[in-house]
Amino acid sequence: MRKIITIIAAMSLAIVASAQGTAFEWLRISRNPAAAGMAGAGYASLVHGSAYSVNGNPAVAPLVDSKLSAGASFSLVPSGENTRGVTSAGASWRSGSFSVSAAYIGGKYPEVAFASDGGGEAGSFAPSDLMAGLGLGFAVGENLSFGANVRYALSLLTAKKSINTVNGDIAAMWKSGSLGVSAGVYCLGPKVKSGNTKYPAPASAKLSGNYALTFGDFALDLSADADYFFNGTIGFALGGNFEWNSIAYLRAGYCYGTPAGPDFKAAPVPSHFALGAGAKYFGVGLDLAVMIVPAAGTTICAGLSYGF
Amino acid sequence: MKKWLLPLAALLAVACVKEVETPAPVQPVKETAAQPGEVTIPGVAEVRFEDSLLELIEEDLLSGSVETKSSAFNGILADLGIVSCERIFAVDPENEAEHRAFGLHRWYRVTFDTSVPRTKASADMLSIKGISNVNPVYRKVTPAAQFDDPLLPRQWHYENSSTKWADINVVPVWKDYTTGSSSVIVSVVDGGIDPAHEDLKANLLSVADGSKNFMSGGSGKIVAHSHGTHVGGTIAAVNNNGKGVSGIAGGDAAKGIQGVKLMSCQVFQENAGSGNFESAMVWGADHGAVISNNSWGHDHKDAKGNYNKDAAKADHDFCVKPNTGNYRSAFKDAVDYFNSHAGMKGGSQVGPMAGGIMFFAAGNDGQPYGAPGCYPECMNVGAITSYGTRTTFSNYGDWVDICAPGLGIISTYPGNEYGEMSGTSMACPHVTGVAALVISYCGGKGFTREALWDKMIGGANNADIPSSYRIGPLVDALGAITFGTGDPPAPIADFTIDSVVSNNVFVTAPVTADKDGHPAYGICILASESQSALLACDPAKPGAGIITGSFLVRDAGIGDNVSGTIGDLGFSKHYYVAVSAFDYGRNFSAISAVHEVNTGVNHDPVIATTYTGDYKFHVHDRFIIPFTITDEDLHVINVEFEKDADDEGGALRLLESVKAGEYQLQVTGNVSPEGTYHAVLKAWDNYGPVISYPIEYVILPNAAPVKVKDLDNIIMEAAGDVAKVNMHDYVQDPDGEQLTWKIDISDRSVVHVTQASGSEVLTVTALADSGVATVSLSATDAGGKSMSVQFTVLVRSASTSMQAYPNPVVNTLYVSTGQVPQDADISLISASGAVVLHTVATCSAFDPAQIDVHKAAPGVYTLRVVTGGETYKTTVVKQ
Repeated sequence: MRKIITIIAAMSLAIVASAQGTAFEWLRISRNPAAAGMAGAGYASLVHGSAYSVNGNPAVAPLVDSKLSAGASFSLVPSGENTRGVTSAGASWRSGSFSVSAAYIGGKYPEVAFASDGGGEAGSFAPSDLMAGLGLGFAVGENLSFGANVRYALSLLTAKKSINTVNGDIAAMWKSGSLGVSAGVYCLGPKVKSGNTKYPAPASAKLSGNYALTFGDFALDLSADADYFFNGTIGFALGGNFEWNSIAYLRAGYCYGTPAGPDFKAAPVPSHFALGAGAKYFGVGLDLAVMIVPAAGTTICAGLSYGF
Repeated sequence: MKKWLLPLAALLAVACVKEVETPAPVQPVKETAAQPGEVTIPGVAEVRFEDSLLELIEEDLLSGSVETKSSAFNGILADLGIVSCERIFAVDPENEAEHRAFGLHRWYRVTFDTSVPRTKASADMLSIKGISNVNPVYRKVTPAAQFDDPLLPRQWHYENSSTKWADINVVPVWKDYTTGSSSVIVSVVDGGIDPAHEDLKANLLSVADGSKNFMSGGSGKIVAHSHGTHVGGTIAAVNNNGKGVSGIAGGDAAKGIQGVKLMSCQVFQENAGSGNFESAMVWGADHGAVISNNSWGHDHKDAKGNYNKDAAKADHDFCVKPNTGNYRSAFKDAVDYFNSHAGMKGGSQVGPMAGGIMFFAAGNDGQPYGAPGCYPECMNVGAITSYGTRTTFSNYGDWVDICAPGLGIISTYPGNEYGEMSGTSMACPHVTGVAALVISYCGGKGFTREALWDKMIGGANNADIPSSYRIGPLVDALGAITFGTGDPPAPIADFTIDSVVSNNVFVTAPVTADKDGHPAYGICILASESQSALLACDPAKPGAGIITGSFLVRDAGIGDNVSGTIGDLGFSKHYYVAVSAFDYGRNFSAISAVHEVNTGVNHDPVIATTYTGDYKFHVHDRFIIPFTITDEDLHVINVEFEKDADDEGGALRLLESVKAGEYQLQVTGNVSPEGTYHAVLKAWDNYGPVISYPIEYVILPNAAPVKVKDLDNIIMEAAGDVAKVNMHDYVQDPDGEQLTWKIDISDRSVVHVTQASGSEVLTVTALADSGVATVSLSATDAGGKSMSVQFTVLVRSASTSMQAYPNPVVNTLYVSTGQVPQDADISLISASGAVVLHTVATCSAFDPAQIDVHKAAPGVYTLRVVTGGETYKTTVVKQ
């Protein structure tokens, strides 16, 4: 354990030492509409399910009740003067104390008109992003679990230029009664090379806490997550999930991320407000989230899920 | 004994040997040798453009530029090495509408790299949309051309199509007599003849065979020299080999006939001074030459280029004396040795002629002096123009024996090149070449140098060259070959004295016939103050006391009356005059009846001008001041322009006269510094005093161009948009001249800028729908002073209020907004929605904000710009 912590610390120091922008920041945005409705908070909560755990906390999957969870979502994200669509899908299967998860994210940007050094027309291209990942989880008893994710991400920037990365997450979670806590490191991986320069991935150390209240047919799940990004910025998210009879859900949250500083250093997840709603019946869920990012605009995320 | 020391000292002090000066060669013609079987001119094509393409390119092509608004056409320029596109049917304002209606304006002659195969050039050009035809261009020869040497049509000095008598009449000799014989060796004492020249080497003796370098400390090899190579080419460039020029005695390669042999005796070398002339002259005699060409003479100019007339006269007076006593010199001994020993060995004739003959260029000072060639044992050659007039530069005098064409002569240049030169240096080899032809045809046992001399002078044309030119008769190759053969025409019984003007007598006489029933070739007028001397004289050899003047019958028939003149008589004297008919072989009839005349007085020439300007010239002034110099006695006028020694650039200079009596002073304001100068235009006939016309002229100070106001930047909305900028509104010259503009464009894919010829209006055309380019302009006046200005052209759609480029970006992102500079709130937002950069900058369309993004991670970003109350977003890819 100490060795792992030492290695993580050394890698994080190496990342902080480089004064560059962070690549693949979009990997830190949740495509789970339930989590998105809470501004991304809830890494220590089981309320979001496990279908998107490859894009969230890998230690959640071995602790949820469902043996099989699957979900698919579609997000409309502001991009330039237009919007782009991001498709996401995830699934998780638990057998006893073990869990296996998989996820995919993909999206294409609108056609970008290129310009020469003098501002003249220089053709056009539609960039695209792609992520595919796998996760493993293991529960020790009923309260403690561990999990790890590994993912491959690719961005096609022009017809001749692309970047890619491989990174992963390691997390641990403890859940007992109404309380849950989790700790982990996310998006840990080698720097992304472009030309002669290397750019760090959006890695962070995250600490999460969750408290669930139940009163009658209603339940309230409150979550708080704090990130220390290895580019020297911080972020935290506060979110709440209010449900009735496990059928209807209302969600809200706020996320804070360090704003832009010198050398393009900003928290990969920007400050934003979020609202969400959902419904579930016989294991089939429908969720919707709206994230309001002051500078970028409003993202709408909707998804279907199924678990049993 | 001591008497000769002073002139000799003066001679040694100021005289130095140099080649006879010739102006710098004008535009050497690079003639690329055609491949075997190739009959078209390489590097030239006849191209027809359709109107669709002409719309884009015509304006630029007519202004002389090959870079146009057509990117397709521009794309083949470098590959084919296109250097010019000229309209075949020149623009004719009076008939342009008709020409364009007929389509003549579509034809262009395109000149490209001669190393590019014609098939490739044709295919590449035809691949351009809008080019419909590409045709080869064939050499053009007149049907009667004797040889296929491609530059022969430009060698007017062999066959003059305009002033038909003003050539050396060599074509009939080539046709019916000889083109030269390899048994005749001609020594060329000059710069080295290029030993590797494609059009000379077959007729050139190698160093092993007799050529020699007489430069001290040299390698012994012949080093090519432009002057020597040009002279050698006139004498014996290889004829009829499909290359370059024709030489007078160059043989006929197509018939396997070798020409005369050139022996290069090098005495000049670039940047190496001169060699041992006397040794070179004697070498020729010792190694088989019977003719020596010497296109050089003594230099009587001081270090500043001022002619020392006294020194020239003293030198001349020494050289014209016989080679005895105080007037003996190594040069004269060399000449006498050559004349007596060439073609001889042990006192017996071994060559085609017994004895040798030396030809010398008369010199280019326009003076009556010409040392050392004025030594009477040499034959001196003066120069005429293509109009038959004496060139302004030719030296003249009774010591000049004969003349030949010497202005604009085309011959060989080193390095397989060809070009034009002018000077008595060029006239001299014409006479040498004709002498070589005569020896080739008539030479052999018993043929002497005296016989050659008689043929050269006796057979020359003295009818068309006025004796008052004092450069002798015009060399006539056919006349020299046929001199002395045939029978004289019938005598002229009587003739008419038409008029007497000063010392000239005008007569009219009937044409008689020779025994073969042909008209006489010419009529000789004889005059003497002694009737008995006239009656006793032999017209062929009139002797002392008899003055002659001849004129040719030309196209007149037997019995027709023809008129002519005899000049150079004494003034206010009584003369007895008769005429005699002669044939082409210069066989003269007995003289006619004798008439008496009284000659008049001499009148001085009159110098006049219609110019009423003030002789104060601006740096940009370039114009002609016309003068007329007339002589009511119809005498030949000698004209000299004595320039101010301080006017080193020649702001005022006399041009070569092309029409009798009309002279031009050329004003070029920017070749000499500001200041006041004094020059003198002088004229004199051969009989009276020098008339002077002093001219004081001023070169005014030159002021540099100044900026009147700043240039406005231009915004255009789409490709094809045009804007006009009158540069005169922004930059002007205080001296009032039109400036020369040099245009530089930072991005030629965005805009194209043209300037109409003779105008200061620029036409700016957008070539793309978006982009920005900086147009830098440099204005220069005639004095070389300049100033630079620039403006920016931005092309973008009217609906575009914000533009970010380049995209994709690596290091610096430029953000341009509206025309008016305003603060802009600029944010760069990553794909996760995080603002990674936020800044505020003042920017505009022409002064974009520069955002350093080199540290931003690669990815897709949203650029958000808030300015002027509006928010603009665009997507930027960072690589």
